[in-house]
Amino acid sequence: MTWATRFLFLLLGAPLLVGSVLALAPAFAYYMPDGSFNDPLNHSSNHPAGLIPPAFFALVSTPGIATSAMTSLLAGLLTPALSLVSVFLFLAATQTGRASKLIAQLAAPVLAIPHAAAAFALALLLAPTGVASRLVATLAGWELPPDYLFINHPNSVALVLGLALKEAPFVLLVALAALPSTAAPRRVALARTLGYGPTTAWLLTVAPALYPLIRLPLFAVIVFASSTVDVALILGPSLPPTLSVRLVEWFVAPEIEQRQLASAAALLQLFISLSALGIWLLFERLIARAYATIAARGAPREASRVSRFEAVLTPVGNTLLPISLVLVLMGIAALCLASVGGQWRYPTILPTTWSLQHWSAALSSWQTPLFNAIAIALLSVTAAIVLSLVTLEAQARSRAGTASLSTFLYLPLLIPQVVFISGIAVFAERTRLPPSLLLVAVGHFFFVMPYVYLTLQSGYARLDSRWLLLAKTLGASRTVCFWRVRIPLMSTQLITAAMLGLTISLSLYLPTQILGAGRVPTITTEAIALVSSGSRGTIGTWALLQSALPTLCFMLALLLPRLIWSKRKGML
Amino acid sequence: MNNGLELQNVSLRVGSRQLLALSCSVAPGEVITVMGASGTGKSTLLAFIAGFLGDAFTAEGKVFLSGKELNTVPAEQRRIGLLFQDALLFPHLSVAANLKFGLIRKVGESPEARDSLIEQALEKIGLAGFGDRDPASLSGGQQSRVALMRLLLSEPHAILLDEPFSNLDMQLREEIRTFTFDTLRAANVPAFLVTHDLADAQAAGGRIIAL
Repeated sequence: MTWATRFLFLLLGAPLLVGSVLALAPAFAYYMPDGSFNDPLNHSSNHPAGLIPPAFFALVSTPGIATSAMTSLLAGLLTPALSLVSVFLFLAATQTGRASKLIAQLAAPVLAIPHAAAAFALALLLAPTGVASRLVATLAGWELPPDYLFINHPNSVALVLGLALKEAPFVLLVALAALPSTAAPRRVALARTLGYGPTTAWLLTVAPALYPLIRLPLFAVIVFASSTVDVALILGPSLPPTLSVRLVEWFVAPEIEQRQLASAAALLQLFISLSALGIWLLFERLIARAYATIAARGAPREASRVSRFEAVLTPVGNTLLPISLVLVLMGIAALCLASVGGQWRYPTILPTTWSLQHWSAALSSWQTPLFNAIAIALLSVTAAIVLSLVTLEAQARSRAGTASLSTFLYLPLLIPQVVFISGIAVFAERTRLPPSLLLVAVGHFFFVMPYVYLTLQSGYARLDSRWLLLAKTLGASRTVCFWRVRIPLMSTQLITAAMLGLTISLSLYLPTQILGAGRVPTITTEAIALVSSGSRGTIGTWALLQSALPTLCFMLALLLPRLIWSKRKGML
Repeated sequence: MNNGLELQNVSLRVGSRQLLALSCSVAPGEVITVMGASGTGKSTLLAFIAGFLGDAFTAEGKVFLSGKELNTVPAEQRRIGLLFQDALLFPHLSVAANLKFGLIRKVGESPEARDSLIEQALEKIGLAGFGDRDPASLSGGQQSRVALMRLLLSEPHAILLDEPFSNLDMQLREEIRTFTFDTLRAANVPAFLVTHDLADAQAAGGRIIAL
C-alpha cells in the first residue's frame, strides 16, 4: 500500500470513526443526584450510575418512536427493492435493445435532479389538487378535488415512491455499466435454445451474474433510503415523522436533554439502517435458494408454460421503469407551471392567470445561497479530485492493489448521513470550530469523494498502458507523462468526475444544514426550508432553481469534451 | 559514439519457469530479428530491454548500450525507442505536436528552428503540410510513418520493434516494412525486431535468432 493510500484511509476513516463515536456518545450520559450529569466525553466525572442511561428511557418513552423507526426501516427496504425489481424487469424485457438505450439517456438527467426537487415535483404532481388530479378531473368531469391524503400520509407511500423514482435511474445506470462484463447476449441465447423465453432467460441467467456487481451501490441505496432527511421532510409522514427527521429536530434543539435524546436516536438510526441491510442480506439468501429451486425444475417443455410467465413479466418490465421516469418529467412540468402560475382554479390543467412574481421574489434573495452552494461545491470537488489523482497516481507508480480502498470509500455512503454528520458537528463544537462555509465543504467532501474517486479510478484502469510506455521511451519524465499524456487522455473522465461531484454537492441538504448551523444557506437548504410554506408557486420556483445548476453540470459533462476536442476525433 | 546494443547472459523467468536465455550484440545499422511463437517471451524481452518489466517476471543478465550498463537506468533515460503494433499517435495532439513530443530539447534553439525541423521531418515522410492535422484524419500508412518519424526525432540510441507490421493489411505491410527498414538503416542505430512473420525477418536483412 502506498503512502498516499494510507493517508486517504486515515483522512476518511478517522472522521468517520470520530464522527460516529461523538454522535452516539452523549446517549450514555448520566444525571447525577445534584442535577449535573456525567458526560462520558468528559473524563473529570467518575460517578457510576444506573445501568441504562436515561437518554434511552427518554427515547423509548417518546410517543410514536416505534412507528418512526418502522417507517425508516420500511423505506430502507422497499426503496431498493422497488428500484431493483423495476430495473431488472426492464432490462429483462427490453434485452438492452434500442429501448433501453433511450431510457438510459432519459434516466441520466433524472439522476442529476436533486432528491428534494424530485420530491417537490412528485408532491405538486400527485397532491389532491396536483396536475395529475386535474388531468383526471378534466376527463371525468370532477368539480372538486378528490379527498385523499398522499403527501405526509402515515402509510409512507409518497416517501417510498419519491425515493424509488430517484434511486431507480441510479440503479439502472450502475447496472448498465456492469452489464457488459456478464456477456448477457450469450447467456440469453443459450437459455433460449434450452426452451426459455427471452425475459425469463435474462432473469434466470443474467440477473444472478449482474446482481453481485451492483450490490455495493444497492447497499448505499438501502442506507440512504432508511436515513434520508430531506425527502422525508417533504414527502414522509408527519405524525410521527421518520426517525431521521426527528433525530435532526432533537439535534438542533438548544436543550442538552434533547441533544442526548438525539444521540440515543442516532444509535437507533444506526441499528435501523444496519437492520435494513441485515434483512436485505437475508432476502438475498432466500432469493438465491428460490433461484436454485427454479433452475433445478428444468426448462419448460410446453409452449403454454413459457408464454404464461413471459406474458406477465414482459409488459410489466417494459412499462414500470419508463412510467417512473415519465412521472418525474411530469412532476418537473408541474413545477414549471406552478412557478409561473398566478390564480389556478381547481379542475383547469393550466393556471388561469400567469405571473412572474414567484421568480422575482426568488431572484431578490438567491445571490447568497447561490454563491454559497457554488463555493462549497467547488471547494469539496477540487479537494476530492486532487486527492483522488494523488492517490491513484501513487498507486499506478507503485503498481499496488486498489481493491480494498474502493470498498472502503463506500463507507461514508454506508453509515447514515445523520449519524456521521451530527458527530462531526459535535466535534466542531468541542474544538470550537465555528460553523462556516469551509466546515460545510469538509462535510460535503466525504460524500463527493467516493463518486469522484470511483470515476477517476475507472479512468485510470481504462487508459491503455502503452500510452505511458510510449511516452517514456520518447524520453518523457513522470511529470510530463502525467500532465501531457495522462491528464489530457483522461480529460473526459475528469470532466465527468468533476460534474458528478458538483451535482452531488449542490444537492446535499443535511451536511449543509447541520454543519452550517443554518448560517450557511444554499439553494438546497432554502428550497427545503419552504416545505412548510405551502405556497405552490414559491416551492415550484425554488425547486427549479435547485435543479438548474446540477442540470447545467450534467449538460456540461456531455458538451465540454465535445467542445474541447472538436478538432481531435480520436478523443471522442 | 555508438557501439551498439549488447545483451549479456540475459535470462527471463516467470515464477520458476524459464522463458528464454540469450546473449547477443547488435551493431549500429543492424536489425536483428528474434522469432518465436507467442508465449515464448518475445515481448517480455523487449520490456526488459526498454526498462519496464512487469512484477511477475524475474530477469538476470545485463543490457549495455554504447558500452553503458542500463539495468538500473529508468526507462525514460535509456534512450531506447519502441515501435508498437499500432501507430499510437497521441489522439489529443496534432501531427506536429506528436512529432515534437519526443524531440530532444537543445539549449538556445528557437521555436522557429524546431518548427522548421518538424516541417523537414514531415517532408521526409511525404507528409509536408500535415502538421496541423488531427492524427485521426490520417490513413493507416500515414500514421505508421508519423510514428516512425516521432521515434527517430527522439534520437534513440537503439530501437525495439514489437511486431510493428502485424496490424497492417497485406498491401500496406509491404510498403511500410520497406520504408521502416530503409529509414532504420539510414539512421544507423542498432535495432531489435521481434516477430512471428518470416517475411519481416527477411526484409530486415539481419541475423535471425529463433526462440
